[in-house]
Amino acid sequence: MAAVSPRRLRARPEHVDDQPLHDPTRTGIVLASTNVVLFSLMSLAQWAGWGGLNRASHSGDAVAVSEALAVMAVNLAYGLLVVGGTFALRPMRWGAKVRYPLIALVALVASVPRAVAMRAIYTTPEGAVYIGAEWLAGFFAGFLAVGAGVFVAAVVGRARREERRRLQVARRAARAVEELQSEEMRVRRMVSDHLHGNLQYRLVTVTAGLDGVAASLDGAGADPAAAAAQLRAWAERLEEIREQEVRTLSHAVFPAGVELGVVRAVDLMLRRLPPQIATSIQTGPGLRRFERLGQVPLMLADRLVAVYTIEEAVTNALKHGHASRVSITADVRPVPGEPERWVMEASVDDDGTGMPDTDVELHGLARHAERLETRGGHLTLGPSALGGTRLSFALPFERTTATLPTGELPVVPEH
Amino acid sequence: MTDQVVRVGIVEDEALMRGMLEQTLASETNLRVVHSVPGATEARLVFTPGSVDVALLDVHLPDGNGVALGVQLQRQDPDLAVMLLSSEDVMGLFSSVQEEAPRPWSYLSKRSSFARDVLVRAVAATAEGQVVIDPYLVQRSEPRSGSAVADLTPAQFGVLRLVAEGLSNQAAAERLGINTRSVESHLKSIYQRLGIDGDGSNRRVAAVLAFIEQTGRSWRT
Repeated sequence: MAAVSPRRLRARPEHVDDQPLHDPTRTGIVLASTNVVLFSLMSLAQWAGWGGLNRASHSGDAVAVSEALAVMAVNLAYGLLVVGGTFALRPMRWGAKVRYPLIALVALVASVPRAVAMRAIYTTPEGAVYIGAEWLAGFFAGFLAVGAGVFVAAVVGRARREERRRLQVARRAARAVEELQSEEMRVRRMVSDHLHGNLQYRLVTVTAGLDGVAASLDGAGADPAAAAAQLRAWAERLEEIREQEVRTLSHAVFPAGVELGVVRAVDLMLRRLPPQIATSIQTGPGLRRFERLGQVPLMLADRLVAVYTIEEAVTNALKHGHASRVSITADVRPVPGEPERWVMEASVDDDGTGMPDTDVELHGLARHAERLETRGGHLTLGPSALGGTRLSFALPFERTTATLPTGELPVVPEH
Repeated sequence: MTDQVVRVGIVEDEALMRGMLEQTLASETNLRVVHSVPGATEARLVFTPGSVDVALLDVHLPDGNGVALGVQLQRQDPDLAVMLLSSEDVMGLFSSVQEEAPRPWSYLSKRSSFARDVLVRAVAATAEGQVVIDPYLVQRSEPRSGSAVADLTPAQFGVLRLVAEGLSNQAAAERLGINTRSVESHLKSIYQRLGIDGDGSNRRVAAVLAFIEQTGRSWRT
């Protein structure tokens, strides 16, 4: 089993509807092309303005038309060359510091043949000043026309990304509410089953046992010493029922210490494990920083997801994997480019019998995987360096700046 | 402090339990109950610094919790000794409190507080600066696998258990049927194995804290 590579547990297929309606690059190309068409038309007007038309018409209408078309064609070809050259280099891939100099370079290269071609048209002036001015103007016009297109593409791209993010957040929130409701129903059902099943059954056995002790005292030849011993044994039994059942229920509803952070709650949980199990918990620098500041970065709902997932992993390790050692790591780090959005990464390693393969176990884990995915996270199972299973998960969350009120250190759930 | 009267303050919301504690403690000549209140709010008012030696605090209070109250009271009065009372096993929580509290606490389950001798001994030992843990839980505690306490011999662990219950060396020797010197030598080895140095009473407290930290309890299923 140790050769099994980590795999992601998926609760549902990936959503495919997160793509933008259309590509912002296309918007940029359309705008840049429109700009260069306008530029070529304006150059035609300019050619007419400085007398080119007048000069050409002396040679007949046919020459005037061909010269006009040549001016337009040269400028249009130049413009499209800059558009094509720029977008072929995928300007949206680069940052603004690379993107705009890139356009300038393309315009610079393409503006040289343009100047040469413009000079070749015989109705244009031939002086060096004209050529220089024409070349410079062409360069700037090309740069601005395409630059504007790229700029708009960038703005649209940003807006789309923002829109998509908002959509994702909204969808995530809707799923979280849905999931919360189903989780609440699950916990209710579990508590109810537990009350009617385990607890009731165990209390009935105590009642019957006590009746038995009473009956033995009623009869002739009653042995008070033996009855006292039996009563003590039953008292002990009651104590265990209280400790186990009541705690199980209370924990299912609200794990102890979760108000104080994920690590504290997990620590309390580890302390409750039978002493034969060696345990360790390590927190990374991100979590330790928050701890020093007395802050709990995760919201309560997120903390519950993390604590219950870790608990499920530990329970699986002990119940199905027969592990004698569990080792937990946890840390938080910011998500790059998304302010206030962080991710908690945690792992549970054990030295048990390896990857889970029973349906019950995978079913339990799939529920947790789904809760994590609802929040944009994921859950992975793989072999552990300790010899058993390694469960790791990522849970993205919006950071809170809640601090622990002083003196409000430990809180115990009410029974 | 042993000759002086120990002043006790009780914070417990269940009237029957409070009455039982008052009666049991009042009947002892070296103990005096100076305050007995049902909630955290009242306690903050009457537990003025210097007026109480040992505070008996219920973990669950209607207007807050006893642990937070204890930390607050002890910050105002660093000489105050605190003993927690709880109906369920709060050892994990109790253990993590030891790092935050200005001085170590004791912990008794409500079940054990019904036993007069256990309650009185725990209050007296706590007043002397010892850390006392509920004897019922102590007897159910086993060393956590992989910890330093797990490296102790069974005899050493047996001695550590009794120290955790708040017994003196002499009382522990009597309980184990060995002489006091043996208990002392066991203690020395315990300190060494647990890496505890310092002077007498601090070492004893450190050993009990290690016991709390490095043991667990298993319950039959």
